[in-house]
Amino acid sequence: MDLVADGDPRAFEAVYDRHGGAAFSLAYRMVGDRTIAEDVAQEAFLSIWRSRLRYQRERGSVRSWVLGIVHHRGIDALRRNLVHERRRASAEGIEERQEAPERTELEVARRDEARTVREAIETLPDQQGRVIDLAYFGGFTHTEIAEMLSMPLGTVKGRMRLGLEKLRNTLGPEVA
Amino acid sequence: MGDHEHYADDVGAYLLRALPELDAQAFRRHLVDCSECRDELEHLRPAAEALPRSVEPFVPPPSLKRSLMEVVKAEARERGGVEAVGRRRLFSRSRLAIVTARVAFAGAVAVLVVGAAIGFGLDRATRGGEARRTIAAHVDRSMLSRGSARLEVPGAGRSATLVVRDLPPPPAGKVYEVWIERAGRVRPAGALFDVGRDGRGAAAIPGGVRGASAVLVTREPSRGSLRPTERASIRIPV
Repeated sequence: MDLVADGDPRAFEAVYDRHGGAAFSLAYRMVGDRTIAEDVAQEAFLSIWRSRLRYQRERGSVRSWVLGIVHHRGIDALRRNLVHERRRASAEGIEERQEAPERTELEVARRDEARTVREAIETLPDQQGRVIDLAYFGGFTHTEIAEMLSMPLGTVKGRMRLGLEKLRNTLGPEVA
Repeated sequence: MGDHEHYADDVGAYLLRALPELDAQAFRRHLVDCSECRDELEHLRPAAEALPRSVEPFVPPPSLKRSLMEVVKAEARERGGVEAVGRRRLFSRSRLAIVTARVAFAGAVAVLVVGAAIGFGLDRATRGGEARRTIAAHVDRSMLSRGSARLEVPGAGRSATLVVRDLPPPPAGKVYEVWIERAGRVRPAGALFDVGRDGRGAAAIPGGVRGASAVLVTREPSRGSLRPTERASIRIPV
């Protein structure tokens, strides 16, 4: 990552090769449109390249850091309202999905990890899981969620906090 | 309702990026002074970071990598031409003497300034096996929208070095000034610095940081100040 910060394109390419799939997958999960997901992922990686955003090892893994940047860009895209029109019109959904094949042990491990985290999310009480899903993957603010669910704002915030707490406890050492 | 009680429930929303921007900025300011909220944030952060890992993996289109690498390689070529000329840079200000010493960063340029008109060279290399501590800084995002900093403290506790990356340049007519907080009092560390085009900079802290509780950075008039004129934008607990 130091080499990326120093402007080494080969180091950058290595980072993309390792994390580009997860980045695109997250973007696609958020925006639901392949073209916009590609734009979101591209913006995220270019911001890493151009602004020399500095990865700090003590804050977590490179993957978490990269996905955090993608998530941020995804939220921007959602809040710029770029997505909603296309979502209504698009019929792409199923036919364009190309699930990543399990080629390597690493990819198998990642697929297993995805399953574990999804199962943990599914153990959350409905309302906690819903507010977290709307916030994290839907890009909605707590105010918007409160309105959508006809719920007091304090309740929304409380459920977000409790849901993350429960998730943390369920996943335990796997997220450490 | 105390400050903590007011903000306590925002932790989850903040981690999920569900706070509107102004609320998020207010929460970040609150974090500076509230260790309970900071602790809870760090406790819940792994759960928030696990969420993207729940996503079913999809194959990105080849066009994504292709277009990215075209841009990256083109910009790297362009930068390579500029940096070959500018490997060593000198800044000059009226009361700051700048000396570039041996550069240990890969392809980096370090600029170091001391407010007493004496320049220190920056050497990031470990000397003679001496143990070195590196302490990450807290950057107040409400004051600096980007950038990071760290303090490098040689094991013997001699002159510590503040290193910054990707910092925005200070406003016109201003400079970054370093302070030492000891026993609740904040005093000038005797170090002023600017940043290069790429946001990098560094400052040696004469006398080191022994006995200090924190190292702070503020933006001050170009000749420095005797007391901070604004809230610290960078804070490093020592």
